Amino acid sequence: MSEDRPTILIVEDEEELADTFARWLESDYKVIKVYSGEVALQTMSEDVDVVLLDRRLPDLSGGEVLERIRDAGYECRVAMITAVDPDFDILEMEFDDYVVKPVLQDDLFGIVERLLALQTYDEQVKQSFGLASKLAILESEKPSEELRSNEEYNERREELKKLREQIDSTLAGFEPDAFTIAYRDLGHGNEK
Amino acid sequence: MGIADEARIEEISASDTLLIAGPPMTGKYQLMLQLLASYCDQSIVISTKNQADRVRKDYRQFAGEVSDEYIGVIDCVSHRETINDVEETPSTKYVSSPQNMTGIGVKFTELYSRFHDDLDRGQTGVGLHSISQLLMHSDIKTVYQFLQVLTGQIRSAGWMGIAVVETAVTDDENLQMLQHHFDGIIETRENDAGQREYRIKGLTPSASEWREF
Repeated sequence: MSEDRPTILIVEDEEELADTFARWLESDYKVIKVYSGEVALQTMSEDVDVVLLDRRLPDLSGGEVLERIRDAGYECRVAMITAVDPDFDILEMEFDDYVVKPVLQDDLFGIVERLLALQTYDEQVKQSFGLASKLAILESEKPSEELRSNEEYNERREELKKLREQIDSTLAGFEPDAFTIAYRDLGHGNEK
Repeated sequence: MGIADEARIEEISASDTLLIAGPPMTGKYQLMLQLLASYCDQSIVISTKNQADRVRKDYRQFAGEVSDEYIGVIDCVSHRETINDVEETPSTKYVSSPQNMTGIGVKFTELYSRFHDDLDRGQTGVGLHSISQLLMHSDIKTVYQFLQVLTGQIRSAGWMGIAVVETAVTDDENLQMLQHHFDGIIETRENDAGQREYRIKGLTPSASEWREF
């Protein structure tokens, strides 16, 4: 995530709808809107945090766009915009969430916020694992008396403690669906 | 049977997440069930070693008569996996292998919703037996991430969580990393007289003394 506001990419060929979504979200987020799959793929970057992706686009299907985003290695969250309630076929595809049209402004914000919380959570856990590993290595290398007076060790412990409190706070806001997504994410991006 | 008489332990409260760590045959599984039965009115057990029926039977040894629906089990050992949930009941879920932590998490979330929203017997506890089985099938990073979600989910509901780990087959470094997910550690051992003992670390400033159980 970039340091300022999160970036939302809207991919929707119904231009009026795309404009409405953008207008709603612009108050809180940086918004990019495109009207086709090809342009979406050209516009994708590391800075994009959430993609709202129409299931049916004039040039590529939403599913194809999603596949190519993932193949390119982007780890953003992607929600499918669809006019029908997701059935089993759709659930096979690896979207993180669904926006079922027509959607209310509050609901759209809810979906975006939930996906951003998952992104934040991801980054926090990666950091936490890194810190915990460093601490474990120090603990295996030095006797505990030495550790107690080691400044770097104590600072890292404090850092990890604060980070863990943030993580718990993020998780405290999760609904069951968000936990399910977090479990589905397990192992993604871990080296073999 | 020391601990059964005063089943509750002074330092432990019903919303703690705990790790029971020790060598084989030092009563860890028993201690996990005992604590769940003493502090909680309904429990969910994730089992990688014993089948669902066995887990319920063992739990009832400490909890007395409790109907099946209040003892949720995620059975990762029967090697059953059904797509249309024919064999699953509202309280018994199956996952094909301990390697499938995503499956465990998804099924746990189903039980989580049920126990959180529908069942109202009182405090809920969650047991995980055992982390070592998970580590046998997956790398430490993924297990660490899984435990982060699981313990975070448990804590978000104010529930009790107890996990078991075999120290004999777990790297010290891995053990150190996983400890961060828990409020306290209960270490078990067998003393020179062949008695099982435990002590508690992390819940109070210094470790407790070793106590027989």
